Amino acid sequence: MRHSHPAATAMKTCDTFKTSFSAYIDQQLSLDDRAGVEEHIRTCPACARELSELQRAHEALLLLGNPLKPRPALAAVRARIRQDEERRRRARWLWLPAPVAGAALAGLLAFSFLRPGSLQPDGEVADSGLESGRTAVVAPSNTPAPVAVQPDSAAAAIPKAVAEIRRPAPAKRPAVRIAQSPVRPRARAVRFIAPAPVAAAPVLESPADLLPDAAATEVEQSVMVVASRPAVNYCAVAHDPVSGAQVSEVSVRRTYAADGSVRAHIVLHFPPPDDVENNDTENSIPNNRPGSRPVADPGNRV
Amino acid sequence: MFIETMANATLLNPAGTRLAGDPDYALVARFQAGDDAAFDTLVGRHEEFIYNVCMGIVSSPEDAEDAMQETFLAAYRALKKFRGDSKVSTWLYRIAVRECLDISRRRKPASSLEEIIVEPSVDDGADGRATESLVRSSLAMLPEHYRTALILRYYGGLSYEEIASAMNSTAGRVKMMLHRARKAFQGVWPGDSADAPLASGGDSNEDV
Repeated sequence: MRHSHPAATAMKTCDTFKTSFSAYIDQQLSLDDRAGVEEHIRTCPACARELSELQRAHEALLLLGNPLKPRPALAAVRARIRQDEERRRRARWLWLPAPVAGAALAGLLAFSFLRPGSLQPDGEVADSGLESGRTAVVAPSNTPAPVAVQPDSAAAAIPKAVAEIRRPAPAKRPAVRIAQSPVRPRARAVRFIAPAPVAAAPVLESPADLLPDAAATEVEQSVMVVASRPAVNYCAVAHDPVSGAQVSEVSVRRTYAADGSVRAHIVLHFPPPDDVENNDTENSIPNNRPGSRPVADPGNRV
Repeated sequence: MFIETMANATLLNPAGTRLAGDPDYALVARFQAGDDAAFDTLVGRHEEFIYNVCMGIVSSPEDAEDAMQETFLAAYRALKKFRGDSKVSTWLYRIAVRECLDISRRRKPASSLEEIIVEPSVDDGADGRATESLVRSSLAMLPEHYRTALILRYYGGLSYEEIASAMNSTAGRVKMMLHRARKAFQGVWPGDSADAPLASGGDSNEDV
């Protein structure tokens, strides 16, 4: 690629050289090609100008080499890992072979029906208030129930009998998990807060949806947020119903839709009950607390 | 340290490639042997680099942080199966690029310079900082694969081959991409002084 005669093949030559300017700047040309470029720009002012402009852009781009200091990532990364593992752990039972999963689900639903007051005939959550101490973890109306989050194959694997049991459940608020709470619920309300750049930060006050199972150390809630600028960090704050203290760890994972809307998955992490040595919650938690009542059955958790 | 690295490299990569000298390899080996804390060291070692690469691609500090966290989460999940087909760093960049593209695909393109937040860098005087942030905002206006190639080249100092590996491309295409990216940058960059006119010429958008 030695072009030293600009006269006849000037156009082709210049174009050819121009495409190699970038590699020239990066010192990625062979010695021959490099010499060819240098020879050419001595005789071709247009190419010389082009190269010097590219050089100037190159010099500006070198400023990208100045490192920006990130905040330490480890704590946040570890929180995401924990969250991810918990999500996977909870989803795992749905991946059991179809008959096993179906039987488990059927058993769970049947059990729920046996418990007075746990489900209304239509499958609605009967009572999830603080007074009774019953805890319901439900999917919010605008999100699919966790069951539906699984791939279709898993949903399709539910035997017909179970499907029939499920059918009466109203679409607006499908019950997913019913569990008796041996201790008081540990979150009263979750406020969902978006910082200043978002106009109209949404605030969630939906205790019923966020009451954790007594044994659960984590509960997740999805909310739809429409933000003018989706790139901001959101946070959520949860309060203890009795003491009013802030729940120690709240993480928010965001997913973005193509239309610019944001879905925030709020995950509350609860410390294990501090007054229980071995997590033997059924036996050791006094029943005279606000929002608690005697527990007959702790066994129907997923 | 070197001996440990060598030993683990041999263990992990019997084929014996250029990876023998990768200091991250010992960490990966420890992690694969069950030492979860080795991952923390890996994060500490690469967070700044990953963050800066992400900043080049997604432009906003929040997104860059998000992408960085997603990168390490994905790396954590995949590290058990990491077989050493590339340097650990290159492998991380590849994940980071993918996460960034995922994020920026969910975004509408920034419509103006004002929307792009640039974190102040090391204090190198008012002038230097202004120029740097101008470079960053100009970069943010380029198509994402141009941004990616440029940040890997200019921040990362990666070779054409390494950029190709991070971008699932070839060195030849990276060469062409960098050329076009520089031309495009030239088109949006207002220049650093009065003698650099805003439009650097009629042919500044010409694609080669």
